Amino acid sequence: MTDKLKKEIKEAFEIDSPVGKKQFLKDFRYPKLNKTDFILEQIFYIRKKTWLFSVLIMGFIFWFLHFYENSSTPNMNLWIISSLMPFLALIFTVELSRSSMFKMEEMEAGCLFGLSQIFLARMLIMGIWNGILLFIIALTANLYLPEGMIKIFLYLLAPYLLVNGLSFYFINNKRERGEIYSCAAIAVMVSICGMIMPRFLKRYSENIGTWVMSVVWITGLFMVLTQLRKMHKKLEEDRWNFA
Amino acid sequence: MSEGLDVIYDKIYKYCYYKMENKQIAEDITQETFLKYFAQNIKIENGRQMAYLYTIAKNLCTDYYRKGKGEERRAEWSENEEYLTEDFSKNLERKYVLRQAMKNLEEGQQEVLFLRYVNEISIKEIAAFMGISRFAVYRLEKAALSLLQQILRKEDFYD
Repeated sequence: MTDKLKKEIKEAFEIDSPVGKKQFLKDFRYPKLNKTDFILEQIFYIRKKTWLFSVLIMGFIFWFLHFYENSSTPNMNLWIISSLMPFLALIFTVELSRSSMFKMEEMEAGCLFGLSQIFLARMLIMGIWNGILLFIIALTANLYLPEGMIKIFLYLLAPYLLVNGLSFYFINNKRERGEIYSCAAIAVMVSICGMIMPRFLKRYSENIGTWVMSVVWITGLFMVLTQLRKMHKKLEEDRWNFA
Repeated sequence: MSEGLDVIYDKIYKYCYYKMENKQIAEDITQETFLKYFAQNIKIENGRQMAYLYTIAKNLCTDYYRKGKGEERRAEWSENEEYLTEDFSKNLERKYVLRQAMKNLEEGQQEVLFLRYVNEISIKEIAAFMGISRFAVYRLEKAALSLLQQILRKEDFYD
C-alpha cells in the first residue's frame, strides 16, 4: 500500500512542462564547465608547436651540457644555458598574446569564460609547464656544472623573468599590432647580452656575474608582477565593458 | 551538479508550483532562483548545490507571500483549476484528494514527502536543505506517510 501511495503522490503533483523553460535555458548564461575542467580544456587549445619548441630548447640544453666542455671563462656554460632562457620566455609570451595576434580579443572577450579567464588559464598552464621545464633543466645542469643549485636557478630565472617582464610591458603599452616582434627583439637582445656578459665581466671580480644576475632577477620579478597585475586589471575592465 | 540543468529546472519548477499553485508565478520564481544561484555560485560548497537551489526557491516563495501577492494568486488558481471538480474522472479526483490531504500535514512533513517522492531527491540532499540530520529526515518521512495514510483512510481514498 505504501509503495502505491508513494507512486500516487508523485502522480498527484505531475504538471505540464513549463512553457518558458526552453527559451530561458537557451538565453541563460551559466558556466557549463567548472574551473578545473575549464583549465584542463585550455591545455588542448595551446598549440602543439609551443610544447614542441620548449621541449626542443630543453633538449638542446641537455645536448649542450653533455657534449660541451668547460671553458676557461668562469661560469661560461651556465651563462650559455642562461642565454637560452629568453627563448623559453618568448614562447610563453607568444602563446599568451595569441588573441591579439589573430585579432580575436574582441570575440574572446564576449564569451562566457571571457578573455581574462582564458588568459589566466593559459598563463597558469604555461607557468606550470615552464616551471617543470626549468626545474628539470636546473636538476640536469646541477649534475654537470659545479656552480650549485641556487646559482643555477638564479642564472636560469633572471633572463627568463626579465624577458617576460619587458614583453608584458610592451603588450600592455602597445600602440598597434606588432608587440610580438618587440618581444622577439627583446628575447634576442637579452640572449646576446647573456652571451657577451661573461667575457665583459671577466675583467672584474668572479662574483660580479652573480650580483648582476641577482639585480636582473629582482628587476624581472618586479616587472612581471606589476605588468601582470596591470594586464589582468585591463582585461577585467574590458570584460565589464563587454558585459 | 550531477543532473542536467534541464532536469533541475523541472524539479525546481515543480517545487515552486507546489508552493505557489500558479504556473506563471512558479516559472518566474524558478527563473529567479537560477539567476540568484548562478550569481553566487562561487561560494557554494560542492555537493550542496541542490539544497542551495531549493533554499533560494523556498525563500523566494516566502518573499512572494510576505509581499501579500500570494493570497491573490491562490484565489486566481482556485478559479482557474475548477476543471478539477467539474471533470470528475476518477483519476483526477484521486489526485485532488491526495493534494488536499497533503495540505493537512505539517509544512516540514509536506516538504519531505514532496521532495522525496515527487522530485526524488536523496535523503542526504533533503537533510542539507532542511538543516536536519539524515535520521531526522527518515523519521519525518515515516511520520508523514503514516499520517497521510490516516487522513486518506478518513477520506475513503482506498475504497
